Amino acid sequence: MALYVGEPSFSQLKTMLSITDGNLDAHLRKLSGAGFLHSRMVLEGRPHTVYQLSESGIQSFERYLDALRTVQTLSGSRPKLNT
Amino acid sequence: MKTLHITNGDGAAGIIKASEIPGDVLPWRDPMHHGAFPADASLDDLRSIRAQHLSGPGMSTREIERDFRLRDDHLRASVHYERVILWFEHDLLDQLQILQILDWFTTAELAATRLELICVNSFPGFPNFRGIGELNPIQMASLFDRRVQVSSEMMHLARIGWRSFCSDDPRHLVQFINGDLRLLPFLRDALSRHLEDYPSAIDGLTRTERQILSLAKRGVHRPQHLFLQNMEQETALFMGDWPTYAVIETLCHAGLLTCDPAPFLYRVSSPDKRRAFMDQSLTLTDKGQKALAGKLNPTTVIERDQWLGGVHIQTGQPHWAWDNRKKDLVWHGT
Repeated sequence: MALYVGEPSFSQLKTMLSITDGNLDAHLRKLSGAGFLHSRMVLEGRPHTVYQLSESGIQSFERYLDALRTVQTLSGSRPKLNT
Repeated sequence: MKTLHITNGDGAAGIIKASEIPGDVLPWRDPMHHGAFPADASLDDLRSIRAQHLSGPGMSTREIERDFRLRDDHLRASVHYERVILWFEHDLLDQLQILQILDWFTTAELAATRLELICVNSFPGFPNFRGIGELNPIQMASLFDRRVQVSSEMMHLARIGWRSFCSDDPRHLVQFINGDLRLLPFLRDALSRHLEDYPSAIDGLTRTERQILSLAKRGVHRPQHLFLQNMEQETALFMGDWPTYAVIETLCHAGLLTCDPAPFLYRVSSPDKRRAFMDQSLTLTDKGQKALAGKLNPTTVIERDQWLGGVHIQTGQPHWAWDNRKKDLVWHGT
Protein backbone atom coordinates (compact mmCIF):
# COMPACT_ATOMS: atom_id res chain seq x y z
CA MET A 1 0.00 0.00 0.00
CA ALA A 2 2.84 2.41 0.90
CA LEU A 3 4.35 1.89 -2.56
CA TYR A 4 0.93 2.29 -4.17
CA VAL A 5 0.09 5.66 -2.65
CA GLY A 6 3.56 7.20 -2.26
CA GLU A 7 7.22 7.05 -3.07
CA PRO A 8 8.96 6.22 0.22
CA SER A 9 12.67 5.71 0.85
CA PHE A 10 14.06 2.56 2.40
CA SER A 11 14.24 4.14 5.85
CA GLN A 12 10.69 5.52 5.58
CA LEU A 13 9.40 2.08 4.60
CA LYS A 14 11.30 0.53 7.46
CA THR A 15 9.70 2.93 9.93
CA MET A 16 6.22 2.49 8.45
CA LEU A 17 6.42 -1.28 8.57
CA SER A 18 8.48 -1.66 11.74
CA ILE A 19 10.67 -4.35 10.23
CA THR A 20 14.40 -5.00 10.01
CA ASP A 21 16.66 -4.05 7.11
CA GLY A 22 17.00 -7.68 6.10
CA ASN A 23 13.28 -8.30 6.18
CA LEU A 24 12.52 -5.20 4.11
CA ASP A 25 15.31 -6.10 1.68
CA ALA A 26 13.71 -9.49 1.17
CA HIS A 27 10.27 -7.98 0.49
CA LEU A 28 11.66 -5.43 -1.96
CA ARG A 29 13.58 -8.16 -3.75
CA LYS A 30 10.41 -10.20 -4.19
CA LEU A 31 8.62 -7.18 -5.64
CA SER A 32 11.52 -6.32 -7.94
CA GLY A 33 11.90 -9.93 -9.01
CA ALA A 34 8.28 -9.88 -10.12
CA GLY A 35 8.83 -6.58 -12.00
CA PHE A 36 6.55 -4.74 -9.56
CA LEU A 37 9.06 -2.16 -8.29
CA HIS A 38 10.24 1.15 -9.69
CA SER A 39 13.09 3.04 -8.07
CA ARG A 40 14.38 6.59 -8.42
CA MET A 41 17.54 8.22 -7.12
CA VAL A 42 16.95 11.53 -5.30
CA LEU A 43 20.01 13.76 -5.32
CA GLU A 44 18.74 16.61 -3.15
CA GLY A 45 20.40 16.54 0.26
CA ARG A 46 21.93 13.18 1.00
CA PRO A 47 21.47 11.02 -2.12
CA HIS A 48 18.96 8.25 -1.54
CA THR A 49 16.66 5.95 -3.46
CA VAL A 50 12.88 6.06 -3.33
CA TYR A 51 10.53 3.29 -4.40
CA GLN A 52 7.14 3.00 -6.02
CA LEU A 53 5.05 0.28 -7.60
CA SER A 54 5.71 -0.15 -11.30
CA GLU A 55 2.85 -0.11 -13.78
CA SER A 56 2.51 -3.89 -13.61
CA GLY A 57 2.82 -3.67 -9.83
CA ILE A 58 -0.07 -1.20 -9.71
CA GLN A 59 -2.17 -3.41 -11.97
CA SER A 60 -1.44 -6.44 -9.84
CA PHE A 61 -2.21 -4.59 -6.60
CA GLU A 62 -5.47 -3.24 -8.03
CA ARG A 63 -6.48 -6.75 -9.07
CA TYR A 64 -5.80 -7.80 -5.50
CA LEU A 65 -7.95 -4.90 -4.18
CA ASP A 66 -10.75 -5.88 -6.57
CA ALA A 67 -10.56 -9.46 -5.34
CA LEU A 68 -10.79 -8.24 -1.73
CA ARG A 69 -13.82 -6.10 -2.58
CA THR A 70 -15.47 -9.09 -4.24
CA VAL A 71 -14.85 -11.21 -1.15
CA GLN A 72 -16.19 -8.40 1.04
CA THR A 73 -19.31 -8.07 -1.09
CA LEU A 74 -19.92 -11.78 -1.12
CA SER A 75 -19.45 -12.13 2.60
CA GLY A 76 -21.66 -9.08 3.21
CA SER A 77 -24.51 -10.62 1.21
CA ARG A 78 -24.18 -14.05 2.78
CA PRO A 79 -27.15 -14.96 5.07
CA LYS A 80 -26.25 -15.16 8.74
CA LEU A 81 -26.14 -18.58 10.30
CA ASN A 82 -28.77 -19.33 12.90
CA THR A 83 -27.14 -20.13 16.19
CA MET B 1 1.90 -6.23 -24.65
CA LYS B 2 3.60 -6.41 -21.26
CA THR B 3 6.80 -4.42 -21.70
CA LEU B 4 9.93 -3.62 -19.73
CA HIS B 5 11.90 -0.53 -20.75
CA ILE B 6 15.56 -0.42 -19.74
CA THR B 7 17.31 2.90 -20.06
CA ASN B 8 20.48 4.74 -19.07
CA GLY B 9 19.45 6.48 -15.85
CA ASP B 10 16.80 8.23 -13.83
CA GLY B 11 16.41 11.16 -16.24
CA ALA B 12 15.37 9.06 -19.22
CA ALA B 13 13.46 6.63 -16.98
CA GLY B 14 11.35 9.50 -15.61
CA ILE B 15 10.56 10.73 -19.13
CA ILE B 16 9.46 7.28 -20.29
CA LYS B 17 7.27 6.95 -17.18
CA ALA B 18 5.73 10.37 -17.88
CA SER B 19 5.03 9.51 -21.52
CA GLU B 20 2.10 7.56 -22.90
CA ILE B 21 4.29 4.53 -23.53
CA PRO B 22 2.99 1.69 -21.39
CA GLY B 23 5.30 -0.56 -19.42
CA ASP B 24 7.64 -0.87 -16.48
CA VAL B 25 10.92 1.05 -16.44
CA LEU B 26 14.36 0.03 -15.20
CA PRO B 27 17.15 2.63 -15.10
CA TRP B 28 20.65 1.14 -15.53
CA ARG B 29 22.28 3.37 -12.95
CA ASP B 30 26.04 2.83 -13.22
CA PRO B 31 28.74 5.20 -14.58
CA MET B 32 30.60 2.30 -16.12
CA HIS B 33 33.34 4.31 -17.81
CA HIS B 34 35.37 4.33 -14.59
CA GLY B 35 36.04 1.61 -12.06
CA ALA B 36 36.59 -2.11 -12.25
CA PHE B 37 34.80 -4.67 -14.41
CA PRO B 38 37.09 -7.66 -14.00
CA ALA B 39 36.99 -10.37 -16.65
CA ASP B 40 34.45 -13.13 -16.00
CA ALA B 41 32.80 -11.23 -13.13
CA SER B 42 29.06 -11.97 -13.11
CA LEU B 43 26.37 -9.40 -12.29
CA ASP B 44 26.36 -10.89 -8.76
CA ASP B 45 30.12 -10.45 -8.46
CA LEU B 46 29.97 -6.91 -9.80
CA ARG B 47 27.50 -5.66 -7.21
CA SER B 48 30.05 -5.33 -4.42
CA ILE B 49 32.88 -4.32 -6.76
CA ARG B 50 30.85 -1.46 -8.22
CA ALA B 51 29.40 -0.46 -4.85
CA GLN B 52 32.87 -0.11 -3.39
CA HIS B 53 33.90 2.08 -6.31
CA LEU B 54 30.83 4.31 -6.15
CA SER B 55 30.30 4.61 -2.40
CA GLY B 56 31.28 7.57 -0.23
CA PRO B 57 29.77 9.90 2.34
CA GLY B 58 26.81 10.42 -0.03
CA MET B 59 25.78 6.77 -0.22
CA SER B 60 27.09 3.74 1.58
CA THR B 61 28.34 0.56 -0.03
CA ARG B 62 25.37 -1.25 1.47
CA GLU B 63 22.82 1.15 -0.05
CA ILE B 64 24.40 0.98 -3.49
CA GLU B 65 24.64 -2.81 -3.34
CA ARG B 66 20.95 -2.92 -2.47
CA ASP B 67 20.11 -0.78 -5.50
CA PHE B 68 22.18 -3.01 -7.77
CA ARG B 69 20.56 -6.15 -6.30
CA LEU B 70 17.07 -4.79 -6.93
CA ARG B 71 18.11 -3.72 -10.43
CA ASP B 72 19.47 -7.18 -11.19
CA ASP B 73 16.36 -8.85 -9.76
CA HIS B 74 14.23 -6.76 -12.11
CA LEU B 75 16.50 -7.61 -15.04
CA ARG B 76 16.08 -11.30 -14.26
CA ALA B 77 12.33 -10.70 -14.32
CA SER B 78 12.67 -9.97 -18.06
CA VAL B 79 11.38 -13.46 -18.72
CA HIS B 80 8.00 -12.38 -17.35
CA TYR B 81 7.63 -9.71 -20.04
CA GLU B 82 6.49 -10.18 -23.60
CA ARG B 83 8.88 -7.47 -24.74
CA VAL B 84 12.01 -5.73 -23.41
CA ILE B 85 13.02 -2.45 -25.04
CA LEU B 86 16.46 -0.90 -24.49
CA TRP B 87 16.46 2.91 -24.80
CA PHE B 88 19.93 4.34 -25.23
CA GLU B 89 22.05 6.92 -27.03
CA HIS B 90 25.41 6.99 -28.73
CA ASP B 91 27.86 8.02 -25.99
CA LEU B 92 30.39 5.91 -24.11
CA LEU B 93 28.28 5.42 -20.99
CA ASP B 94 25.30 4.16 -22.95
CA GLN B 95 27.30 1.97 -25.28
CA LEU B 96 28.93 0.24 -22.32
CA GLN B 97 25.53 -0.27 -20.75
CA ILE B 98 24.23 -1.79 -23.99
CA LEU B 99 27.19 -4.18 -24.09
CA GLN B 100 26.70 -5.30 -20.50
CA ILE B 101 22.94 -5.76 -20.83
CA LEU B 102 23.07 -7.56 -24.18
CA ASP B 103 25.86 -9.77 -22.87
CA TRP B 104 23.58 -10.75 -20.00
CA PHE B 105 20.73 -11.46 -22.40
CA THR B 106 22.90 -13.83 -24.45
CA THR B 107 22.70 -16.29 -21.56
CA ALA B 108 19.17 -15.48 -20.39
CA GLU B 109 16.42 -17.89 -21.30
CA LEU B 110 13.94 -15.43 -22.69
CA ALA B 111 11.62 -17.94 -24.33
CA ALA B 112 8.88 -15.77 -25.84
CA THR B 113 10.25 -12.37 -24.81
CA ARG B 114 11.10 -10.05 -27.72
CA LEU B 115 14.22 -7.93 -27.25
CA GLU B 116 14.27 -4.56 -29.03
CA LEU B 117 16.67 -1.62 -29.16
CA ILE B 118 16.25 2.11 -29.62
CA CYS B 119 19.61 3.85 -29.91
CA VAL B 120 19.95 7.36 -31.33
CA ASN B 121 22.63 9.99 -31.79
CA SER B 122 20.36 12.80 -32.96
CA PHE B 123 16.88 14.21 -32.68
CA PRO B 124 15.13 16.83 -34.86
CA GLY B 125 15.40 20.28 -33.30
CA PHE B 126 18.42 19.38 -31.19
CA PRO B 127 21.49 20.50 -33.17
CA ASN B 128 23.76 19.62 -30.24
CA PHE B 129 21.90 16.49 -29.17
CA ARG B 130 23.39 15.06 -25.99
CA GLY B 131 21.00 12.31 -25.13
CA ILE B 132 17.45 11.08 -24.70
CA GLY B 133 17.33 12.65 -21.24
CA GLU B 134 16.91 16.03 -23.01
CA LEU B 135 13.64 15.01 -24.64
CA ASN B 136 10.16 15.69 -23.36
CA PRO B 137 7.71 12.79 -22.96
CA ILE B 138 6.10 13.38 -26.38
CA GLN B 139 9.48 13.50 -28.11
CA MET B 140 10.57 10.40 -26.22
CA ALA B 141 7.43 8.56 -27.27
CA SER B 142 8.14 9.44 -30.91
CA LEU B 143 11.28 7.28 -30.71
CA PHE B 144 9.15 4.22 -30.06
CA ASP B 145 8.73 3.52 -33.77
CA ARG B 146 12.49 3.59 -34.27
CA ARG B 147 13.03 0.43 -32.29
CA VAL B 148 14.67 -2.53 -34.00
CA GLN B 149 14.63 -6.15 -33.00
CA VAL B 150 17.91 -7.23 -31.40
CA SER B 151 19.27 -9.99 -33.61
CA SER B 152 21.41 -12.90 -32.53
CA GLU B 153 24.25 -11.30 -34.50
CA MET B 154 23.93 -8.10 -32.47
CA MET B 155 23.93 -10.14 -29.27
CA HIS B 156 27.05 -11.98 -30.40
CA LEU B 157 28.79 -8.70 -31.25
CA ALA B 158 27.86 -7.25 -27.86
CA ARG B 159 29.17 -10.33 -26.09
CA ILE B 160 32.55 -10.01 -27.78
CA GLY B 161 32.57 -6.27 -27.07
CA TRP B 162 31.74 -6.77 -23.41
CA ARG B 163 34.44 -9.41 -23.00
CA SER B 164 36.92 -7.09 -24.71
CA PHE B 165 36.03 -4.25 -22.34
CA CYS B 166 36.40 -6.54 -19.32
CA SER B 167 39.63 -8.15 -20.52
CA ASP B 168 42.80 -7.33 -18.60
CA ASP B 169 44.51 -6.91 -21.97
CA PRO B 170 43.11 -3.79 -23.67
CA ARG B 171 44.49 -4.87 -27.02
CA HIS B 172 41.38 -7.04 -27.23
CA LEU B 173 39.33 -3.85 -27.14
CA VAL B 174 41.46 -2.22 -29.85
CA GLN B 175 41.03 -5.33 -31.97
CA PHE B 176 37.28 -5.23 -31.37
CA ILE B 177 37.08 -1.55 -32.30
CA ASN B 178 38.90 -2.25 -35.56
CA GLY B 179 36.43 -4.98 -36.47
CA ASP B 180 33.07 -4.80 -38.20
CA LEU B 181 30.76 -2.93 -35.82
CA ARG B 182 28.04 -1.92 -38.29
CA LEU B 183 25.35 -3.72 -36.30
CA LEU B 184 25.98 -1.42 -33.31
CA PRO B 185 27.21 1.63 -35.19
CA PHE B 186 28.01 3.92 -32.26
CA LEU B 187 30.38 1.53 -30.55
CA ARG B 188 33.54 2.53 -32.41
CA ASP B 189 33.50 6.23 -31.49
CA ALA B 190 32.38 5.52 -27.94
CA LEU B 191 34.99 2.89 -27.19
CA SER B 192 37.70 4.98 -28.88
CA ARG B 193 36.86 7.72 -26.38
CA HIS B 194 37.30 5.15 -23.63
CA LEU B 195 40.85 4.45 -24.83
CA GLU B 196 41.61 8.18 -24.65
CA ASP B 197 40.99 7.98 -20.93
CA TYR B 198 44.00 5.75 -20.50
CA PRO B 199 47.04 7.73 -19.28
CA SER B 200 48.80 9.22 -22.26
CA ALA B 201 52.11 7.71 -23.29
CA ILE B 202 53.31 11.25 -23.93
CA ASP B 203 52.30 13.35 -20.92
CA GLY B 204 50.79 10.75 -18.58
CA LEU B 205 47.40 12.51 -18.49
CA THR B 206 44.06 11.11 -19.54
CA ARG B 207 42.04 13.15 -22.03
CA THR B 208 39.60 14.14 -19.28
CA GLU B 209 42.42 15.23 -16.98
CA ARG B 210 44.01 17.24 -19.78
CA GLN B 211 40.71 18.94 -20.60
CA ILE B 212 40.16 19.95 -16.98
CA LEU B 213 43.71 21.24 -16.54
CA SER B 214 43.39 23.22 -19.78
CA LEU B 215 40.16 24.79 -18.56
CA ALA B 216 41.83 25.74 -15.26
CA LYS B 217 44.67 27.27 -17.24
CA ARG B 218 42.10 29.38 -19.12
CA GLY B 219 40.76 30.72 -15.83
CA VAL B 220 37.85 28.37 -15.09
CA HIS B 221 38.00 27.91 -11.31
CA ARG B 222 34.66 26.81 -9.89
CA PRO B 223 33.95 23.05 -9.76
CA GLN B 224 30.57 23.37 -11.46
CA HIS B 225 32.00 25.54 -14.23
CA LEU B 226 34.77 23.03 -14.79
CA PHE B 227 32.18 20.27 -15.03
CA LEU B 228 29.94 22.18 -17.43
CA GLN B 229 32.75 23.39 -19.65
CA ASN B 230 34.39 19.99 -19.68
CA MET B 231 31.11 18.68 -21.11
CA GLU B 232 31.54 21.09 -24.00
CA GLN B 233 34.86 19.45 -24.88
CA GLU B 234 33.10 16.18 -25.70
CA THR B 235 31.42 15.33 -28.97
CA ALA B 236 29.36 12.68 -27.18
CA LEU B 237 28.79 13.61 -23.57
CA PHE B 238 29.19 10.65 -21.22
CA MET B 239 30.54 11.82 -17.88
CA GLY B 240 28.30 13.14 -15.13
CA ASP B 241 29.21 15.59 -12.41
CA TRP B 242 30.44 13.18 -9.71
CA PRO B 243 32.88 11.29 -11.94
CA THR B 244 34.19 14.66 -13.16
CA TYR B 245 34.69 15.84 -9.58
CA ALA B 246 36.49 12.59 -8.82
CA VAL B 247 38.93 13.44 -11.61
CA ILE B 248 39.40 16.94 -10.15
CA GLU B 249 40.12 15.36 -6.77
CA THR B 250 42.77 13.16 -8.39
CA LEU B 251 44.35 16.22 -10.00
CA CYS B 252 44.43 17.99 -6.62
CA HIS B 253 46.03 14.97 -4.93
CA ALA B 254 48.65 14.93 -7.66
CA GLY B 255 49.43 18.61 -7.02
CA LEU B 256 48.40 19.64 -10.54
CA LEU B 257 45.49 21.69 -9.23
CA THR B 258 45.25 23.50 -5.94
CA CYS B 259 41.97 24.12 -4.16
CA ASP B 260 41.04 27.07 -1.98
CA PRO B 261 40.03 26.09 0.64
CA ALA B 262 41.89 22.78 0.69
CA PRO B 263 41.24 19.93 0.43
CA PHE B 264 38.82 19.74 -2.50
CA LEU B 265 35.54 18.24 -1.28
CA TYR B 266 32.66 17.11 -3.48
CA ARG B 267 30.95 14.19 -1.76
CA VAL B 268 28.85 16.54 0.33
CA SER B 269 25.55 15.48 1.80
CA SER B 270 23.97 18.59 3.27
CA PRO B 271 22.69 21.81 1.66
CA ASP B 272 25.04 24.07 3.67
CA LYS B 273 28.06 22.05 2.57
CA ARG B 274 26.73 22.26 -0.98
CA ARG B 275 27.24 26.04 -0.90
CA ALA B 276 30.78 25.56 0.37
CA PHE B 277 31.37 23.02 -2.40
CA MET B 278 30.28 25.47 -5.08
CA ASP B 279 32.50 28.24 -3.67
CA GLN B 280 35.68 26.19 -3.89
CA SER B 281 38.24 27.65 -6.29
CA LEU B 282 40.60 25.47 -8.28
CA THR B 283 43.82 26.81 -9.79
CA LEU B 284 46.45 25.25 -12.01
CA THR B 285 49.78 24.84 -10.20
CA ASP B 286 53.27 25.16 -11.66
CA LYS B 287 53.42 21.38 -11.67
CA GLY B 288 50.11 21.36 -13.53
CA GLN B 289 51.56 23.74 -16.12
CA LYS B 290 54.50 21.40 -16.61
CA ALA B 291 52.24 18.37 -16.85
CA LEU B 292 50.17 20.08 -19.55
CA ALA B 293 53.36 20.96 -21.42
CA GLY B 294 54.44 17.31 -21.26
CA LYS B 295 57.53 18.16 -19.21
CA LEU B 296 56.97 15.62 -16.43
CA ASN B 297 57.60 11.88 -16.35
CA PRO B 298 54.40 10.39 -17.81
CA THR B 299 54.60 7.29 -15.63
CA THR B 300 54.70 9.21 -12.35
CA VAL B 301 52.92 12.52 -13.00
CA ILE B 302 49.85 11.11 -11.25
CA GLU B 303 49.92 8.38 -8.62
CA ARG B 304 47.42 5.90 -9.98
CA ASP B 305 45.52 2.93 -8.65
CA GLN B 306 42.54 2.83 -10.96
CA TRP B 307 40.57 0.51 -13.18
CA LEU B 308 39.25 1.03 -16.68
CA GLY B 309 36.98 -1.93 -17.40
CA GLY B 310 39.11 -5.02 -16.82
CA VAL B 311 42.42 -3.17 -16.81
CA HIS B 312 44.13 -2.19 -13.57
CA ILE B 313 46.54 0.74 -13.84
CA GLN B 314 48.92 1.20 -10.95
CA THR B 315 51.85 3.56 -10.67
CA GLY B 316 55.05 1.61 -10.29
CA GLN B 317 53.63 -1.38 -12.14
CA PRO B 318 53.93 -1.98 -15.87
CA HIS B 319 50.76 -0.74 -17.53
CA TRP B 320 49.15 0.24 -20.78
CA ALA B 321 49.12 3.85 -21.97
CA TRP B 322 47.44 5.57 -24.90
CA ASP B 323 49.46 7.12 -27.72
CA ASN B 324 47.10 9.58 -29.34
CA ARG B 325 49.48 10.23 -32.26
CA LYS B 326 49.60 6.57 -33.22
CA LYS B 327 46.03 5.98 -32.02
CA ASP B 328 47.23 2.86 -30.29
CA LEU B 329 48.14 1.48 -26.88
CA VAL B 330 51.74 1.26 -25.80
CA TRP B 331 53.18 -0.84 -23.00
CA HIS B 332 54.89 1.05 -20.20
CA GLY B 333 56.97 -1.81 -18.86
CA THR B 334 59.76 -1.87 -16.36
